[in-house]
Amino acid sequence: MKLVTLIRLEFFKQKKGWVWLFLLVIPAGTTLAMFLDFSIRYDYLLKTARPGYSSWDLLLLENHRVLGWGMFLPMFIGIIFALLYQVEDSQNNWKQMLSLPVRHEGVYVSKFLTGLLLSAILILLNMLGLVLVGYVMDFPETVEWSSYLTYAGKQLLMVLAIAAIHNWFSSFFKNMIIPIVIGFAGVILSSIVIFQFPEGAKFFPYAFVFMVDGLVNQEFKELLTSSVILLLVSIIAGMWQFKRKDVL
Amino acid sequence: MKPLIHAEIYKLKRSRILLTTTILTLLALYQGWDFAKMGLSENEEEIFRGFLYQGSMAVYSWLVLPLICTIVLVMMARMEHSTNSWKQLLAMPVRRRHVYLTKLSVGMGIILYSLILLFLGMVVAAFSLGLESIPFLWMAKRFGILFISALPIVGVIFYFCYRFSHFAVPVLIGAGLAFPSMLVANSEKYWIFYPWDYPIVSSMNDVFDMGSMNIIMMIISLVIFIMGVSIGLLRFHTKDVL
Repeated sequence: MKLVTLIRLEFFKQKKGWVWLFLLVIPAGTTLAMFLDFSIRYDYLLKTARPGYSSWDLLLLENHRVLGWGMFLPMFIGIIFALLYQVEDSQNNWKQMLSLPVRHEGVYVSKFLTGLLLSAILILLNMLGLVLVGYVMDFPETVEWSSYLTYAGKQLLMVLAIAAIHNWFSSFFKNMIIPIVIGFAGVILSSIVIFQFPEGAKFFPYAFVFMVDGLVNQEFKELLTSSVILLLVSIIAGMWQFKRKDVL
Repeated sequence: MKPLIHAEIYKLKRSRILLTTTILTLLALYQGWDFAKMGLSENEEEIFRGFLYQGSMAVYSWLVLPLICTIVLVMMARMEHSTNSWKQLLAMPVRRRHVYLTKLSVGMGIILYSLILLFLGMVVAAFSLGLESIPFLWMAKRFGILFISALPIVGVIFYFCYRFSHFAVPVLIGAGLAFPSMLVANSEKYWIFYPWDYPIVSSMNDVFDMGSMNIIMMIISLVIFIMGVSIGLLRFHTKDVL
């Protein structure tokens, strides 16, 4: 019961924060970019498409690979977590927060779940934006809800590892720029890993999301295992560290 | 202004800004080096241009440079914002203009350091791979244009760093605008309208055709830079320090 209260409290703290603007602006940007992309070169994309791909598949691939949503999503999630923790650090709220009769674990998990929820909103809005682009462009095929929902669901499963890792980093560092820098560096590294060592991508959490477009890359089960293992490891390690946090 | 620059450099010592810049730059160099090892061509200069340079630049101009600009400027602004040491700094007998311009020049100095590091790194990598004919002049030109093409990013981010005391705003702008840049750079007609893809287009012009837009791009870069910096300076003059 307390966990629900804590999560509600997190949303309360973000009420006037930048995170909402972020959650709206980024998907709005991807929608606009995809709309412009498709209105300029829809014919070209259809002509060069692999046989069997529908317009919806093309749209998904453009979003995921050419625009680079799959590559940049971990960075956005890192920023979300930094913003969630920044609220406490800037005023040193930890003192008040952790002297309340709440368990450290509860606070830690509530931060994680809030961040995950915000990430889910980000992913969902991006997906709905794509559907909107499809409607506006008047694609000949009917909308493939099932494949789009699978796409969103797979992304959410893949960001579990990143979310847990960034929850740990953001709780550990006092300077919130550092986890953001780690996120940036992770994305830069993942661009190298994906194109130079694709077989190593299943060990590198920042590259997970990129690998689950469902069309070009088919491996999912291995990635899911890695994602869940990393999730558990970083939640446990992070919590262990968080319990020892000095609140003064 | 000299003591101010000394003070900035002093503050840099304890921060991780230089370390971050170095690591991120070397990541790009590593990609180029790895790429060049595979590059099998008769012509040494072709390996250099087509693999070492192209491979490094592919990730450097797309991700590393825009993100370094964002991170460096945000971290330097945060040094003052986080503890509100503007109060102390601006209460001293220093001109505000000088404080502002010092922050800008040290920040740009670090970005320049990253470019020089990449340049020297490429030379070292070329020697270690046994490539001897390095087109120094061509490379210097490319790096010069790359620096100019990064100016609009610096101008915009710098403005937002000092306009808002929360680090989130410049970070979101820097990360958000860097994100679609590769997509826009693919467009032959429209890239000129999106300053965040200038580094990509200007450094990889074997891949992306600049046409005759070279000069226009530089003018736009300078205009955005000067506008961002001077509007920011006007505001900084009237900034409340409490």
